[in-house]
Amino acid sequence: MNKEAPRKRRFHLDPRIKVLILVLIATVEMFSLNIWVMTAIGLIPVFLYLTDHRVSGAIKYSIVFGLSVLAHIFRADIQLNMVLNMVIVLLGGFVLKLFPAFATGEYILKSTSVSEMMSAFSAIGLNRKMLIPLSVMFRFFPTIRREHAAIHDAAMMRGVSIGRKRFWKNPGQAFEYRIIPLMITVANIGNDLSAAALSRGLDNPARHTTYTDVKIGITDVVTLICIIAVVTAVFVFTTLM
Amino acid sequence: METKRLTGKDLITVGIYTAIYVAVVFVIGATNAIPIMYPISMVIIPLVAGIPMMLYYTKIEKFGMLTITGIIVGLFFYLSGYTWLCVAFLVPSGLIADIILKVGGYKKFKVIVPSYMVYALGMLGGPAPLWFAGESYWDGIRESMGEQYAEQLAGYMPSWMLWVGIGLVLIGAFLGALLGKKMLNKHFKKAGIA
Amino acid sequence: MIEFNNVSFKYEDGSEILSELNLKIRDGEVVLLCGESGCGKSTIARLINALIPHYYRGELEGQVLINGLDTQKAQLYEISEQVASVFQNPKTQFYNVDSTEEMVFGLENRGVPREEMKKRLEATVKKLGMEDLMNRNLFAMSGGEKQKVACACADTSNAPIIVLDEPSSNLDIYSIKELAQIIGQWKKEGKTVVVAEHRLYYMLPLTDRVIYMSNGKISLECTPDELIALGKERIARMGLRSTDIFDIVKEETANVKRVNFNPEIAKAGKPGTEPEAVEDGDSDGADDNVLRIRDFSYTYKGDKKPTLTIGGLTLPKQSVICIVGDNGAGKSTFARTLCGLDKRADGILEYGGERLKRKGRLKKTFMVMQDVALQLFTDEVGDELESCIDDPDEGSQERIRELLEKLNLSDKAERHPQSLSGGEKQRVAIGSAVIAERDIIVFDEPTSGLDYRHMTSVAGLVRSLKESGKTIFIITHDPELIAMCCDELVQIENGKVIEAGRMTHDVYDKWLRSTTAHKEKKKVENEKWYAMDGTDL
Repeated sequence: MNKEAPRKRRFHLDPRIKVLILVLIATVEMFSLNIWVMTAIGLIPVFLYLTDHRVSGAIKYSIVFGLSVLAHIFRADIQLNMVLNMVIVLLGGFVLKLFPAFATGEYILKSTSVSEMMSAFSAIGLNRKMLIPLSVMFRFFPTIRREHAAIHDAAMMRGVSIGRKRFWKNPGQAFEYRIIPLMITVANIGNDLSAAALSRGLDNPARHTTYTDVKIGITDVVTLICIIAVVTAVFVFTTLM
Repeated sequence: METKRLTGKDLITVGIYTAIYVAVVFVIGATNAIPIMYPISMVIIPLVAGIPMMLYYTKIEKFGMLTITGIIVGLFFYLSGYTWLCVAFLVPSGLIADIILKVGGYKKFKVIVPSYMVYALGMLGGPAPLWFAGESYWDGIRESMGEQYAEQLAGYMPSWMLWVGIGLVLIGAFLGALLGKKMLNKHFKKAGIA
Repeated sequence: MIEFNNVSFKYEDGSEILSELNLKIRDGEVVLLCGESGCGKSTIARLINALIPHYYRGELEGQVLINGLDTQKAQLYEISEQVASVFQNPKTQFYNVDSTEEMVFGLENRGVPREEMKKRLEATVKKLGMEDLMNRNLFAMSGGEKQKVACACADTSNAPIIVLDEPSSNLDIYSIKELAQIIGQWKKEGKTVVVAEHRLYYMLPLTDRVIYMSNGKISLECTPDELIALGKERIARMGLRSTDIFDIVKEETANVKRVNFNPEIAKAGKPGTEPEAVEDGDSDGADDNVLRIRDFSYTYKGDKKPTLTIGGLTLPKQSVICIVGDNGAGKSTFARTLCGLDKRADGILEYGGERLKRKGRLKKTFMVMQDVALQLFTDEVGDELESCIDDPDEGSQERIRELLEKLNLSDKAERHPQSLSGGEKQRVAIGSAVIAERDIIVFDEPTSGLDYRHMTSVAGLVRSLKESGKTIFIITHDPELIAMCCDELVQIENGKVIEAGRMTHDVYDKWLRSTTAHKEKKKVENEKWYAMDGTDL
């Protein structure tokens, strides 16, 4: 998830709308669809990436998705051995069916700040019992990554990193070296964090307020309508015509 | 001072261990790009996650913590693009794991083992579309590749794979619980965090 | 008003930390709690913010009253409206990822309406000069910046009492100065401020009353002037840090004339100017007594220009080299490059005629990390050292035993490393460097949060490592540690070495003044903010 607060972007969607788009994609993909509708849905993440100024992400995704579409169209012409053929069809189907949702999910996590997400969750009436663990989880992801990097350094100094002789002497132990200090550090940070949060009134039974404001605006509505309209149009056009 | 309600401290604990669990699943799950790793990761994930989860279980004294973990993990994977089956699997598995603890008693290893094994089954929500939501997917293949081809393909992915999957996860979770228990005694208790 | 009536406290492990304590702190008073580690000063801080008894469990007798509220009867969140806290470790006290969110977190918990939050936040931002710290990722902030955010959190809460538990432990000198200014501001506003702290120098000018604790009892209560009047020796014997950081370096006693290895740097090194790449005069002349750093550079992924560039730097072997510089100046990058930890880093280290590339340095160096717990892997101290030996033989057990003796860890050989105290963990890590026969040992902030006695013992350890032939690098902000054991002082700013040379009174003095001075230039607009402190820092 994006750690910076939302920058003033020209194009900015409400987190609730983003999640709704994802839910729509995931639901529609459950059904058997023709290739044109699947392509239309596949284009949604491209659009979302571009609004978030992630051109390289959009290109990478387009290539993978485009190849799968091509593989699907020309599947009858592919004359390879049985196993390879199957792998291509399976992988292609996997990408066509699941990648749009994967990519949208990734877009949501990258383009939404934690506070925005929390405000949105609390705006839809999510319980405190969910909100607190969720925000703690998002705060701990970078902690885990950082502490793990430090442990990686320590292991490298001791010669127990992958590619060193001592690592392969006892890989199980090398794994233990990694995960144990990490657990201990994260647990200790957690203890300190709990103390700090409680001393700032986390357990106050008063209804908690949020500082970050989330509003569904005209951009959100227009985007949602456009997406639904395009996909529906493609569906109607290709199935009924 | 002790309440049955979940306090802020409990909820922070839930957040921390859920984060670790998600991180473990993500790192190991990344190898899933190679299909052959699917069955292997079904053993490895619950095995490795056994270490943080056994530490987590030492902090659980109230009903609801595992359910929340299940909901969050399910939502998180749903939001990262897996299917809604993640939620459909992880919520009940978390809830049942919680019930097992509530009935059997907290902080008892004999109770923790089955609780964790049930909880671990929730992760089958990830590959589940291959079996469940796959119907439409199979239709698609039948339609495009022909009946014969689809049958052949189904031969590679027989329906009993589901039971194999469940078996693999249960074995992984059982071993994971033992591994976690070993690490608790070897490290965490002495380090004063368990 | 804070009142302690006959308060005794035992932690769950049975160790008594406070006994029969009576204390009254008036509204608007600034109190400095000091004393050696384990004297009970942090316990007092935790009793005031009610984390004892609500979070840290133990046996509490007596009564603590905060503005009339009995902390044992009141809920923690009720106390939190009276008492705001700033903790020691900036890394572990923030709950959010975003700095602005963090500053309003306490208000959100209390259910303060959004408009009111905005108003309070604005006031705090203006008062503490937080403009450049808004909407930032806390993970990307330096320790000093994080601690400033923590202070801002305390400020927005509008609590009349603020408790700070060793707030300067992880800060550089400049950040400590900023911290002092914030505390001064609170004092002006009439807040009650209680600071538990090892570092005295920045607190004394602000303090109304000094409380010196030992063994869970108040053993001295006095004014700052009375404390200073006790004299340096007496204060050091009490286990307290210096009251003045300028006057601690002894005049040179060594009469050995030594060459300045890096005359070019001394010439080029003016903050703000771009020093030229420094070329050593005669590098081919084999010199077994020096180590040379050549073309160290480090470029962040995606950046075009390197963050760190050190063309050439020559330093004496078997000496203690202190690396100083602001947060973010490139000290840690330098250390990681020196230790060969980063693949993105370039450069060569010549060590007594040996040319070491990255992988070579990995085997020659060892870093004792700031968070030393991260580098202890095994479940027994003895195993920890054994696992560092490449090819164990019959002699290794004997060597381990001897080393443990030297490190004063003999009775701890079978303990779990993670169950040791901070200082002991540090010694185990040093032990692994020694047993692995590394010649260069790098310390990253080894004395943050240590009291006088522990700092002195680290300095002693460093000196004995040097005696045994090691070359020591210390990345540090701690002026007292530098004064105690530094031979060579290297100052890094903006990824470049701006000063490097033999440590003398003058060099030390110049560094201390420059470290705060050139940052202040950026802050002229906050002139009135600086006017308040009458200290000479």
